[in-house]
Amino acid sequence: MSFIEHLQSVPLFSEMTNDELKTLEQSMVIEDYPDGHQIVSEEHVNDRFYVLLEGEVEITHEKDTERGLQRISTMGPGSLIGLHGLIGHNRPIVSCRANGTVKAAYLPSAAFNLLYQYNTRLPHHFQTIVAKQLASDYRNIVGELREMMLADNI
Amino acid sequence: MDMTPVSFKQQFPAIAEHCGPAGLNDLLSTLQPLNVQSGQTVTEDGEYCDSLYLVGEGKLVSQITSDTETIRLGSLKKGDIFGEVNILDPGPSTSTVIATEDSMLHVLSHDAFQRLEKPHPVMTGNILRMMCSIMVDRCRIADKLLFSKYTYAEGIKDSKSTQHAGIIEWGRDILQKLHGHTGTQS
Repeated sequence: MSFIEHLQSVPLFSEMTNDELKTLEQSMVIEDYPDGHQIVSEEHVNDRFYVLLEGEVEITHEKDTERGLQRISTMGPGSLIGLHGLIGHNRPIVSCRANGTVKAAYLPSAAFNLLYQYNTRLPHHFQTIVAKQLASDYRNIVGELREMMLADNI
Repeated sequence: MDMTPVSFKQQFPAIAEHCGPAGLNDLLSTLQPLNVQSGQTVTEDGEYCDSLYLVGEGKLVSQITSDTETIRLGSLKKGDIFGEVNILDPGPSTSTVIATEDSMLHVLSHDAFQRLEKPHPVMTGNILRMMCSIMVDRCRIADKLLFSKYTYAEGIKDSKSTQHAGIIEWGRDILQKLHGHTGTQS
């Protein structure tokens, strides 16, 4: 499957035109990662935005794990990784590790910023994708937080 | 009263800085005025919402509720905005917002914002980028609170519940920061 076909299969990218996807293709790098490869770590500032194309990654909170707490989830093809670190210019809030062989495309931060210099719909479309993912993340975190705050059995 | 480009730049500089003259004019013509009376609910926790609200005049409070209690998250005043999650991702509102004074709001709907995209792709892209930065900050604060609460809950799960009130107060403080920074909330 080509890079563009991969992205077209991701719902978040479905509104992008072929020309926009081709521009993204020119900006992104595709890599394969072995099982156990640390793609994003809470310990290091992240300067890449990843789209998972094939395989599965495991999401962990290292600090939780150190304390024996388990908040682990997995993400599959089409998932976006590294947004929080890239946009916030800070260390990511989670770590991501390949669970089996993984193929992912990444956009370096410099290319990420260059996208906004295109006087086309691409910046808006791309930012919409990022925004929708962040809004979803925000809802999930705040939802969990609210459940804990409003629970009677803390 | 219609908002002028000058008054908009004064009240909402974080948005206005991304707008050229033509873009700002189109944005202003897109905003819908909404007058609310003191006590009136603007958004309801859990109810569908698809708009960003800009506070032109008045004061409002945001809160979340359960069956047994209401937690006040923060207050909103002239120049503040709320609803950025919903304009990006229409769906259930994450809090209830109620006017505590007669207030005048400017409403930018998801559809209206999308209509600005074609003539002003750079402007809308940069406004989205600004809202994304706000959400990233909020996610980080919320995640820290979650981490702390998980840790705290593990530590006290077998103890008396006398500390419960303390952690709720602490949680409220964090949530106020979460929802209140730069005067915005969702």
